[in-house]
Amino acid sequence: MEYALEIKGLTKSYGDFVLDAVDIRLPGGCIMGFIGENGAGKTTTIKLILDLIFKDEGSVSILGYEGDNTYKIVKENIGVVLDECNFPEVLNAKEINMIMKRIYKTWDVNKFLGYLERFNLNVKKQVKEYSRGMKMKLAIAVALSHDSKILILDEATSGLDPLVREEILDVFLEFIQDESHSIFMSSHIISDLEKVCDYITLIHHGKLVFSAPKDDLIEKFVLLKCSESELADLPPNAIYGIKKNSFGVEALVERRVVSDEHVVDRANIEDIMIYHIKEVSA
Amino acid sequence: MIGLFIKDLLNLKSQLRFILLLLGVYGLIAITNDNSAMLGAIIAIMGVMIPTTALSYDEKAKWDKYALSMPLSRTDLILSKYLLGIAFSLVGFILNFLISLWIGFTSYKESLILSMLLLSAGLFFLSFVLPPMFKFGVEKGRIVMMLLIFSPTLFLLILKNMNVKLPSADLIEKFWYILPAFSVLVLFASIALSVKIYSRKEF
Repeated sequence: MEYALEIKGLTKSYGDFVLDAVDIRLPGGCIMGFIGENGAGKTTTIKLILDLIFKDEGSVSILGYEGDNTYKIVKENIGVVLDECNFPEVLNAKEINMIMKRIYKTWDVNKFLGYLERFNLNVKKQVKEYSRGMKMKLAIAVALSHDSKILILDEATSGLDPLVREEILDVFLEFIQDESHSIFMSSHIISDLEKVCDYITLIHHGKLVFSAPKDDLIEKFVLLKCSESELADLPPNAIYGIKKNSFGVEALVERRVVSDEHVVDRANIEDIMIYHIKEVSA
Repeated sequence: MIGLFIKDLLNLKSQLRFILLLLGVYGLIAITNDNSAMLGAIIAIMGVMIPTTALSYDEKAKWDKYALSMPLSRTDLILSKYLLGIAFSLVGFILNFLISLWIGFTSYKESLILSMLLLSAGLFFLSFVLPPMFKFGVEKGRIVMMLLIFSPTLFLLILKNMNVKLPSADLIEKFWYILPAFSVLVLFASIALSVKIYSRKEF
């Protein structure tokens, strides 16, 4: 199977932090949400994918290319939005268009101007006068205005109000209509990811916890409310995290082990993430 | 590459206005005093100031890591800054040549030699300043730049104290012809060094 993004055994160590043999496979035509705490290694992973830092071990292949001489060609097909707008502040969108036209061979002026109009961005205003939402929209417009087949987004929607996020998520969903397109996005706003993602990947302390289809996760886990003794009757390997309260316990467990007598709630991705991390750190 | 060059020019728009003003003021001083030495030095330094200012803007915007996600190589980013420095040094060379001719206190040949000398000095300066800036960033790189500015004076002072005889005028005149060629060599070595430094940089 052809993956849009395939990461194998990716390892990078800094003195006190190790990204440890991470494996991620994103099939073409899908959106993957990349989650984890601050400092879990999300940005490190994205930097490794983009060759901004150098890996110790492992491999990264994007759209079938591994980081070699062909890398410059494949970058025409990668749209990147980092957690801030990295355009020099004195430039305006018109000037950015002039610059990008000469950087990307596949730059599409009309597409870019179309997005600027759609996002209501003033072409002649300097970037420094833009709000955070406008800056991110500008970066997204740039990422979509060349021959992008994969979008790599690092916290692209954080710090934005719900309306702007909704608008941006709609753009992503449009982008993914083309089956050769895919998106890899890290975010702290799990509810956004739950809305649009096909796959969810969680890392914790530099280690991969899971990377699975979202529907499988939702199907696999439930939140169980019971007493401690009831929980003790369940197989320990089906329990992924426990929260104690005055009424008993709340635990993330596999659906297969619960019966009709148990009180269960649907677990959303945020619950699944939090309980997994609690389990791992305990 | 061209895209990066244009980005720097657009980025420096407001700075360019300031530089033009500076040139105007020193130009006036040069004309009223019939002496273009100061103006010449300012113009030669321009070739260094412009790429370092462009670098500091890039650093502020964290542009490099973003640019590297585009179809640009690390070498492209380095070359574009040298290109900027060389382009402005050449503009400076032409300006210096025309001004010293126009002010008319030198012959055609002397103007050429003087401008070549300033160009060489500018390229030397550029060659020494850029690699530390790529290595340590603009702020720390500026400290290295300051040290570099004073080191020739210091060097000459030490030589003087050691009672080393100054070379004869004849020798200096010959040196003037070698200097431009030598500065180009140093420039190439500097580019190679910067490319190497930058290829190992992590963002």
